[in-house]
Amino acid sequence: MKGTLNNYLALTFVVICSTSGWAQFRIPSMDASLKGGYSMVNGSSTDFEGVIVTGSLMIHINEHIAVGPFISQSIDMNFFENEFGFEGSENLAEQSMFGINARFSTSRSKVLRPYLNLSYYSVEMVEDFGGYRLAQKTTGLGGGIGLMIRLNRNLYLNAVEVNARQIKDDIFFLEGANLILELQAGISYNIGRKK
Amino acid sequence: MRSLISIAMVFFMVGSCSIIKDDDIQSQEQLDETLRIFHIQFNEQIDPQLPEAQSVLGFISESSDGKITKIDWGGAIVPREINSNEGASSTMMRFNYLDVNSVPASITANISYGSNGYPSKITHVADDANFEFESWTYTYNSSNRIANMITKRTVPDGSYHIEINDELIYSGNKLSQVIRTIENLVAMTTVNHTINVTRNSSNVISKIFYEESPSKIRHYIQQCPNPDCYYYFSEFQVPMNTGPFGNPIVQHTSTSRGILQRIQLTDSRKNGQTGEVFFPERGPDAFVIHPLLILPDLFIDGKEISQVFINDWWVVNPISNENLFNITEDRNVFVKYKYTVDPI
Repeated sequence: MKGTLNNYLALTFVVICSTSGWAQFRIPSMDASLKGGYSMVNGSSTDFEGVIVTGSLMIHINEHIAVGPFISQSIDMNFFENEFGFEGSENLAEQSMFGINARFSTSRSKVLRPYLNLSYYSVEMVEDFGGYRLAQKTTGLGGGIGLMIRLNRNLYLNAVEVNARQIKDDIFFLEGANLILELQAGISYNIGRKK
Repeated sequence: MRSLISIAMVFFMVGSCSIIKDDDIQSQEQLDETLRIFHIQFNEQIDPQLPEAQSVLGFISESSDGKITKIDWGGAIVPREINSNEGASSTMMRFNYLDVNSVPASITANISYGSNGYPSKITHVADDANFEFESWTYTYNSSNRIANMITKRTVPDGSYHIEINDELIYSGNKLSQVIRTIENLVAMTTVNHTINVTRNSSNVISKIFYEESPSKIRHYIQQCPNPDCYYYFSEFQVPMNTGPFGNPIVQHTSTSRGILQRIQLTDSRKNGQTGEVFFPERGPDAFVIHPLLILPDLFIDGKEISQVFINDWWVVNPISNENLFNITEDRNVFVKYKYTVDPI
């Protein structure tokens, strides 16, 4: 719980820094994004799925390329174990991800801005049995596609973003799971000079 | 530059926040070392469309070295006369407590271990009478597989006392035959018979033959695609019936990590058919609590051996009563295992 709270505080801090801190410092052009969505990991007889929130800062290298860190935290996630086709157990679960993202987008248009992204991250997964918890940390590479819709001079709507994220090491309580699938939407706020 | 440093610091803070706690279990090895059964739960389901109803919990006690030494069952699944209780709960677990006129308040299973670390004796004791009504004594061969199992059953007034001596014979460490001697110490009679186990090319049990007089019982066993998962299909020739009969289905389910999660015991009424199927000729089956069935992992190849002894824990009820037994759906008993871990 403490770790989750810390992550929420840090996430809030990221957003605040990105919107107010830039007034005090001369910072490069970047997008601060806040997204929410659904994450799912399918194992051979287990599912790990639920709602996640993702925050990111994408520093613009040029008009088409942006690079920056991101953090993702589950807010309502469950672990389902299917017992060979029968309805099985359900436990609370948690997922946290921290990494770096590279975004490749089209140029700034009046309305739509599709993009591709690549990411490298550290991911932590926890299954909570009540009396005890199983946890593991690993890394991975991921990619995805998304579509931004321009709402005003600085604000974009991330209408949809689909990510497929690889899990490098076997999660010992998620037998057969090797991919995290995400569907997200949110907003991005552009700070600084436009690129 | 300062701004970039600030941003880097923010994300360093974020990245240093971990949701993993020091006391979380972080590897399979750590889990295997600390996991233990907390309780065993029985659920009954008299219609697959209806939710399961919890019937009883068996609470586990362990020794300091992590071995299960006692199960407190309470009295909730103590034998009810199946025929008189039809409609409320029919596919049920019960103890092989034969004195149905004297229902114990609670029953305890006590487990003691030999020097090899495997169970040497398991007893079922009725607490209210302080009466050991059922016991199993085990001896082992050099590879710690059960070589001999002596089962004793009795009733308080001494009117029933039976001892069953099972000699287990292996071929290449796989059970191939059981030579059974049943002694009735009241009637002073002895019956011998043999259980033969045949295996397929993968060394999985494919058939078990029980030769008993007068009924001949034949069981077929199939292994599911998943490891540690078995289905039973049995054919019973029961006097006064020509069939078809619903066959018991038994399924051990374990996680991919090999941890036993559930045993499903099905009193099959539909016999694989769809729609309404009616078997008025047969009463509801009962499943008898048996250590090999409930705690198969206490023994080497326990799940497989428990299947060979299906005769000991599955009670088919051949009584006819068309008015009472209008059963048209499969009935299930689920034995569910709840685990916890030792403090780290």
